[in-house]
Amino acid sequence: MTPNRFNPALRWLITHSFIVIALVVLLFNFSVYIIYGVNLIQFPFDYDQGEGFELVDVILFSQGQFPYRDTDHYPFYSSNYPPLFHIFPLPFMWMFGAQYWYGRLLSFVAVMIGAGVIGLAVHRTVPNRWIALCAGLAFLSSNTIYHISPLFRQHMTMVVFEIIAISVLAWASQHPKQTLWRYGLGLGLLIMAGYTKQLAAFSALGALVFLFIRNPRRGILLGMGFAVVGLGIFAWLNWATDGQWFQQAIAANVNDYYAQQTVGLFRLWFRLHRFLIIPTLLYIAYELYFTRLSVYSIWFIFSLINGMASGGWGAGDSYFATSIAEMCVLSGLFFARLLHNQWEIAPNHRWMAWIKPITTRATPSLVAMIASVVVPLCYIGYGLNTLKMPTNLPVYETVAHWLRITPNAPAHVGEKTFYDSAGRIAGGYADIGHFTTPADVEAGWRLVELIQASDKPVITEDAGFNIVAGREVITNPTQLRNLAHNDLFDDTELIQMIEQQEFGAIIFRAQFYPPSVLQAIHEAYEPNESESVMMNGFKYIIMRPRTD
Amino acid sequence: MLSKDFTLTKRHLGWLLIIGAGLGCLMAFSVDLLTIYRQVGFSGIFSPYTLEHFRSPMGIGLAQRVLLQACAGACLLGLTLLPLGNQPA
Repeated sequence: MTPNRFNPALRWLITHSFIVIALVVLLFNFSVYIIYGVNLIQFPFDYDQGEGFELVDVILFSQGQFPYRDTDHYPFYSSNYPPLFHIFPLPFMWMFGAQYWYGRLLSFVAVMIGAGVIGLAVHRTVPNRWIALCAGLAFLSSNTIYHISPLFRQHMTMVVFEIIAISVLAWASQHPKQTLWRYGLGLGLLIMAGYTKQLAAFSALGALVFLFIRNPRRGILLGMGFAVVGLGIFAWLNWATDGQWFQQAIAANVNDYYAQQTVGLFRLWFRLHRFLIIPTLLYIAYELYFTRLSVYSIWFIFSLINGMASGGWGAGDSYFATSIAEMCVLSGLFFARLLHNQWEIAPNHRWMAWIKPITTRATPSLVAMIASVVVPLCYIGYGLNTLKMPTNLPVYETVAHWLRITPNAPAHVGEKTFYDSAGRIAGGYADIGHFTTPADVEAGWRLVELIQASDKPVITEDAGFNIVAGREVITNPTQLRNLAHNDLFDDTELIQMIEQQEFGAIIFRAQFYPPSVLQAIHEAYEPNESESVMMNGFKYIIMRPRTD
Repeated sequence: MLSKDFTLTKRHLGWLLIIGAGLGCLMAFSVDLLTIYRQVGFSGIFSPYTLEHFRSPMGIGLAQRVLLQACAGACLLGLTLLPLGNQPA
């Protein structure tokens, strides 16, 4: 039967039914994303361990100080992230004081802007509204993006800068004339991404490789300009902080590497996103063999290097966020080209003799008809693969019952109430994605009261409790661990203060401190089990000075 | 190559991938070769000791295996691009 014999009304009904189902599945995931964001934005303490330290950096910037400091002396605090992310919330900081909500809100909104840019990038290249919508929603549907989007962390803001930068470079490459300022704008945005988080270096490398492939002369000139601006900012930061910028943000970032963690996270990434990864790879193969490589394809390949870095200590599934963004663009382009049969193959292509019989046999309308069913099915499969939801809220409870889903996210207090198809992140340390409860808020306030009741300073592994209690934040445990790992931390002063029991209490969440500091704490302090608190699934151990 | 209109071809890209894959392989073995050099000197690299080292359980780790597989993939990809000649990359 040829496609022409199909009843057009029946064909329209079938294809649009699949499209509607795909949109329903992706919009359902989007609704979970929204309520998770709203839930988290209202939570007044740390949800992810590093959030409080981002807030400390904002506080320091609001006072005109750099957060890159000498950690050998009291209060033993330094940041190890670039400054840009901490500058955006400054107006909110001046208006509302030190709060978590605006940092999370900014990150949450930025990710939605990123999703919009992904949709726009697809629509600009091959106009198709519903594919563009699905591409944007697919980005928000990914478990990885969901986990970290509403956090007061810089990673997703970096990814959004990258998405916009690469889209600008793609736009520039489509204009044969007056492209220099467009390329400059794209590279400028990549510098902004790099000064949001160092990991953007791989995207910058991908962009420079693209520029070199298209025209080596222009690539070298633009690369030199990029290096002058990027290194100029670097040198100024280093000069302004007496060398602490390099020590705290670069040298301290050399960490142990666990290859098994990388392999596990790559498997998880493929398992969750395979319905879009396979079309992405097909699209890259099309560009590689039949047309010109776009900046999107090169960026995707370089973003996989980020994935390779996910085995570092402290790294995790978030290192795949860039590749997921790119996957959404490239799979969207593949689907849109498939539906519209918009393949660009040069008539003098060396393999034309082989391609022609295939293209003649598979007539465009037949391909489009099959694609109009297969493409929505891919989005439906992807939406179901990336499913996550609370199982105790109205509507979601019913859906979970229909789909026979049982909650699987870790819960150390009470019953499990959240399902996440990602399960326990392979080798990662962060258990996030579940919703906070009034009991978590109550637990946080108990820790704040405990700090306020102490007449001595208190060390906490989450900075938020000290901030809310109006006390000084002392130490940044992961940073001290990183510095000690690289022989860049002199622990004498801190250990002396611990031995002299100068802290009223030390609140542990994950015991991230360097081994020498942990040993000193355990010798001078002891856990008070009756004061320990459960919050967000983590046990906060209260260490009190030993009396024996 | 440095003219305003020059662009890399599929063949150039193929060669770049092959060269990159070769450098990647060298990088994958460089840590081990450096260790052997420190232990038994430069001549030791070309001795049976090197072969024994790579045959031992500590020889080629997971990260090296993954890197070598990626290099092999890149090399194959490069080879398939060579016949496409002067098509712009």
